[in-house]
Amino acid sequence: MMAHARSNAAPPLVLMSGITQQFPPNTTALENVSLSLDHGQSLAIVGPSGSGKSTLLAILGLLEKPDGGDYILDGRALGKLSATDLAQIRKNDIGYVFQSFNLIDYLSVEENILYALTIKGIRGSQARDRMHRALENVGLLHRRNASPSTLSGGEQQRTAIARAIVTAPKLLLCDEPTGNLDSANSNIILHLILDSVAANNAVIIVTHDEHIAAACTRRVVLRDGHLRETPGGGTL
Amino acid sequence: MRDLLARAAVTLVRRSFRNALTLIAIVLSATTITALFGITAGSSAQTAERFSQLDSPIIQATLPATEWENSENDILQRLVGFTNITRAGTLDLPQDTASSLTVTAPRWGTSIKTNIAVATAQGLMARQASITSGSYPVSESVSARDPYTVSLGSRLASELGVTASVNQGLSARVSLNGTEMAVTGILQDAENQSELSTAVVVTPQTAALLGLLPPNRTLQIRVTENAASTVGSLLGLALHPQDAEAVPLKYPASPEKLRASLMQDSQNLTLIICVIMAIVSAFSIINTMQIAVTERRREIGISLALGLSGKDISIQFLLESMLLGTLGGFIGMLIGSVIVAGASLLLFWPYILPQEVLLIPVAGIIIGALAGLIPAIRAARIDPVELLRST
Ligand SMILES: Nc1ncnc2c1ncn2[C@@H]1O[C@H](COP(=O)(O)OP(=O)(O)OP(=O)(O)O)[C@@H](O)[C@H]1O
Ligand SMILES: [Mg+2]
Repeated sequence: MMAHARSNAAPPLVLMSGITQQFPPNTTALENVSLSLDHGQSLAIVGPSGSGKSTLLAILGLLEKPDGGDYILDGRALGKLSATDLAQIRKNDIGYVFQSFNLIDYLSVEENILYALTIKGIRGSQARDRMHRALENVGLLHRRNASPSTLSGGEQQRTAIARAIVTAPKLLLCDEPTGNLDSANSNIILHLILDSVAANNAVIIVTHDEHIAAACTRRVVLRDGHLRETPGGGTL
Repeated sequence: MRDLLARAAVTLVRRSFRNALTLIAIVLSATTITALFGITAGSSAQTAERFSQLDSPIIQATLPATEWENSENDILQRLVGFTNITRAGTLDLPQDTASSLTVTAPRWGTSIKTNIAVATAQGLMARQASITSGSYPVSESVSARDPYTVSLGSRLASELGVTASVNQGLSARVSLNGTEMAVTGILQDAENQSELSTAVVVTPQTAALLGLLPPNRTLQIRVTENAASTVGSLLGLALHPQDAEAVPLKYPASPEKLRASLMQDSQNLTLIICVIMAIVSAFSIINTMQIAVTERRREIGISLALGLSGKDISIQFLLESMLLGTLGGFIGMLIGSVIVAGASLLLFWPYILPQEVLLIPVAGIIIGALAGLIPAIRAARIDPVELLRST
């Protein structure tokens, strides 16, 4: 497989070691977490509520700085970078899909996507082309002018995925993307996410859904801030 | 930066209901400020116009009663050195003498109780009171003529029914407290001295004969423009070298000063109100932006996740706030100008809109920036992880 061919040659996309995160007064959300993820992989993070999954995802997505540990993203050490540099990396390399409320409610579906594209410096006809293709890809072109509040939960998540992958980020992070959806919609979303994985990028999905975890190439369990790799991925 | 501005503008338009409320508050403030500026300028120009018709500055020097023994010339001699004095003479105005008497016109039997003014011809001229009919006795030669003469204010003369006679040069007689007098002249109202028109005006000699000499001899001194204080500072010494302090000076309100102080008063008032309005507007913007930050936590989180930095978010909020302030200031200025135009048409005031109102949109930018500062900083502090956790 191409993904493997590349992972042997290139450094891992994500290389974390000894990450700890504490919250006042005395919560240890993450304890000495180490994680390595190669290009082309899809990783499921499972674990009970409060185990630190979202915290880990926020650190992976550079939305939060860990208290300790090292994080190298695509060969670049992030520890000493400024807030502006980190924002720049988020802009270029990272896509996010949250469990809900992904969309800005006073912008239409297409404007939500164009908003992301402008932030990422893509404008004009190029932006419109990309937006068009992204919405087509998730089957929402006919709803392009709708307000997010008139979309179903599944449609909202499809819009969020369209927005996250429209710039082809290296790392796509999804925090329980199907948490509020029925199984039919979950499947659609899952496939949209996994279909975006290619040789030069990777996906991390936080989920409670074993069906989704089983569809990913790898699976880790977080429990009380400790990360443990478990077998059983890649069966779908 | 261009993107941030564009986003700020889009947000303002899209969140139009919320922003409309703030905008209305700002527009109202700006309208009031503009209208206030214009209406104050218009109305004080109007008031000032009325005052500028008044006479030019006068100094009133109150000499002690002993000075009645001196002739007018002796007294005026002391002022010879003053080049800024254009005219001076004795005039104890009716309100200064405060003594009343009864005038009777024997022909008609009309009896009127009125006030007396004691004046020399020079004194009347110093206050710009003139004789319209007949003549006024020149004090130096009063002894040579009939000392029992009197001049009458124009209104008093017509009420006594002697105007026609005097006009025709016929002899007219009145009695003052029972003493018969010949009416030698009728005084035209001096500007700003309407009391003279109902007064009996006599020379010091006549007043002495009647026993109505006022306790002080008041000298009316007309000075050239802006010379009042210079002249005033030396006057006491010149008039009463032994004791300059014994000559109190009065400066009947200078119309220019009055005008300036009126304008200043209304401008100060306007300024105070403007500052209050500006503060109210600022709080209104702070409030909206604060609410906006809270309401838009998710949007802020999404934007951070999409790659904006906290600084970008702050700037965007600041720009929104500044746009809001500018827009409100500008619209308010326009509406206010129309209101001022309307008011000046209705009230026949001059349409004056000080150029300063152009600063209102500028003030809007500044107030917007100041008011947006705290919310903008708060916006950048929002923890995007809250977004991950929210369900
Ligand atoms: N800002 C914070 N301040 C204090 N404690 C926090 C903060 N953020 C997270 N925590 C705590 O850290 C722990 C991990 O939280 P996290 O949200 O990562 O859990 P999770 O695995 O995503 O849970 P869930 O499955 O319910 O979403 C929890 O105990 C939580 O209360
Ligand atoms: Mg979570």
